[in-house]
Amino acid sequence: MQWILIAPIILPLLTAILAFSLSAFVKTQRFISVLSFTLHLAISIFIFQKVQNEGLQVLWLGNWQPPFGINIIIDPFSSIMLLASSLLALSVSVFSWSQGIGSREKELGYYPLIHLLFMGVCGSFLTGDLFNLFVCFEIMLMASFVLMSLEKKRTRIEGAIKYVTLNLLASAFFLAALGLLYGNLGTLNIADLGRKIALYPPSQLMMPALLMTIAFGIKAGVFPLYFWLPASYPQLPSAMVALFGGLLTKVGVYALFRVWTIVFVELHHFIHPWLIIIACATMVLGVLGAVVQYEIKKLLSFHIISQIGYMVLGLAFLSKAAIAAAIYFVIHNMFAKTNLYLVGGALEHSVGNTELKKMGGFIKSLPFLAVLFLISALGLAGIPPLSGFFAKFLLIKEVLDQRSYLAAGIALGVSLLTLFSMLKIWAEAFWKDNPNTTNSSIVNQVIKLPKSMYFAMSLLAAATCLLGLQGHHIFTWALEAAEVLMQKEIYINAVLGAQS
Amino acid sequence: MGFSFILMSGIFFAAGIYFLLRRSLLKLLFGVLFLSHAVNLILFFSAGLYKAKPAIISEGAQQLSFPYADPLSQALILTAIVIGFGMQAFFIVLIYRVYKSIGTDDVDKIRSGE
Repeated sequence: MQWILIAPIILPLLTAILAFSLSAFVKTQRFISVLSFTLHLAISIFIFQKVQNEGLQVLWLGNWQPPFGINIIIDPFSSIMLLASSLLALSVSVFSWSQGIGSREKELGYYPLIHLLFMGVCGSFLTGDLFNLFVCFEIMLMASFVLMSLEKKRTRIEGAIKYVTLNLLASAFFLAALGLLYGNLGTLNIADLGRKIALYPPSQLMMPALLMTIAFGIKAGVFPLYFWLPASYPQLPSAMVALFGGLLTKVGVYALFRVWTIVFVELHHFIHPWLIIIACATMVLGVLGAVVQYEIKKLLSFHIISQIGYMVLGLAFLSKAAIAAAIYFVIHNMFAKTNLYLVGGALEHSVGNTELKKMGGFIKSLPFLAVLFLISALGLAGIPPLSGFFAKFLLIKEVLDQRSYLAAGIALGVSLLTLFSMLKIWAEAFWKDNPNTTNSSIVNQVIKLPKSMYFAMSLLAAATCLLGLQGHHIFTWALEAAEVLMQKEIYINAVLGAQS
Repeated sequence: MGFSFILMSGIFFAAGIYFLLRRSLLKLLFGVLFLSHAVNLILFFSAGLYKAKPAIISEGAQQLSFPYADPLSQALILTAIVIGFGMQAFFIVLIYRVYKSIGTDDVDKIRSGE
């Protein structure tokens, strides 16, 4: 059954090929797409349990002996990320079943492309080789480039050029880092790098480490490298931006965690103060950007940035509890943020635009949507017993334990501003009266949304609730994941065998 | 010879960044092209430069004797070139699209996201 470890990469590829060959039949494509994501979720659950029961899973492709071949390795961290992403992709795919993505875009290949994108994302989570990580990044980027420029609308093309340029720059930096690393150490296998890195002086490795951090930082959207994100994401249709916002930046965060724990952990004390400054600046500037916005998708895009700051803060402190809290935070954020985008998409679908000033009265016309929004928004802001509370509580407690009071204070303040901007959406879109009509009989009419949209949003809202109510279990898993990251010998020995 | 490669890669990097900072769309493309060449050069000399030393175990010997050109980095650079080629082809089309939509070569005329 070891072959199942590669299934999360192969399945989206096969689905994409099948969907491409059926490009004339959009309805068949969407059926295949949902089926494939459901199957992917099942496989991810299976792999997750396998990792829980049997420990780290390694697959040597082509049976090349370590460390020469490329290996697939699934540790608890990657299995959690895999599970969360497949649930997220499934719900986005269901959300866009009938509405939410223009029919023209579906004809031009929306379904095959999201599967290719997802293949790149899964590949990044599973691979045990840095060059392979680069290739997976490129697959993901290429699919996202094409998705982004599917429509000829001016604003969208102009957003796409910023996104593409910055990401090509990031790829160039990543590849340069790989070249320098290979020149110094003669390997690009993550486990092998982790073992050999101690033999070399830090000064020799600082350059590739920093280049890689910049490259992943651009992809994750940390300060001061995030400007492409609010320029390009809000131009996309909601289902697409939900997928991008939920997955792509998190892959950057995943890569940062992976290299700074397994590979460059010996250099961590050099960048520790810088990471704290970057994390705090990302949190503050992201949330301040969000506070002034009155357009839902722009507001949420700035929130992505702000939340990335919390994750980087966890990485900055590099203790088992901090890393575990950050992993919990990543999962929580994937569900809550994607669902907020989907709610934004549902609002856009029912009023035709995303300007908060032009909305109002949805608590009467869309009561169930209001509930779904409130769950995700309060979850994101961190109101107990929803997931965000535990994520922030654990993270800030660890930051306080490490006596970094200023950073903890900033994290708390940012959390307050997050609540403020979420309540702004609530007050403008749901609570206040609809500004367009004075005739209350029209306003109070219940608007019908497609059932598929409600199903997708309920799925993610349930995940947010469950993540909070079962916080204990989730945190235990996050602790296990953090343990492997903190004690890199577990990871290295699983790949290369115990050192002789 | 190694030093001249380093110098060349550095010049390519500088040129790439310089072009990226210009206001013209076409120069944006040049910047990306220069950067990808600079990076490919780094990959190329990451394995060390040895003339006429293929990675073949000579007859009778048990393993490779030291100075040899590492074939792996050449495989890496091939992959990188192919990926870069695809990206650049897409980028050229995208730039053409942007040019058609804003009607000028000036990057400052791009207004989205503000």
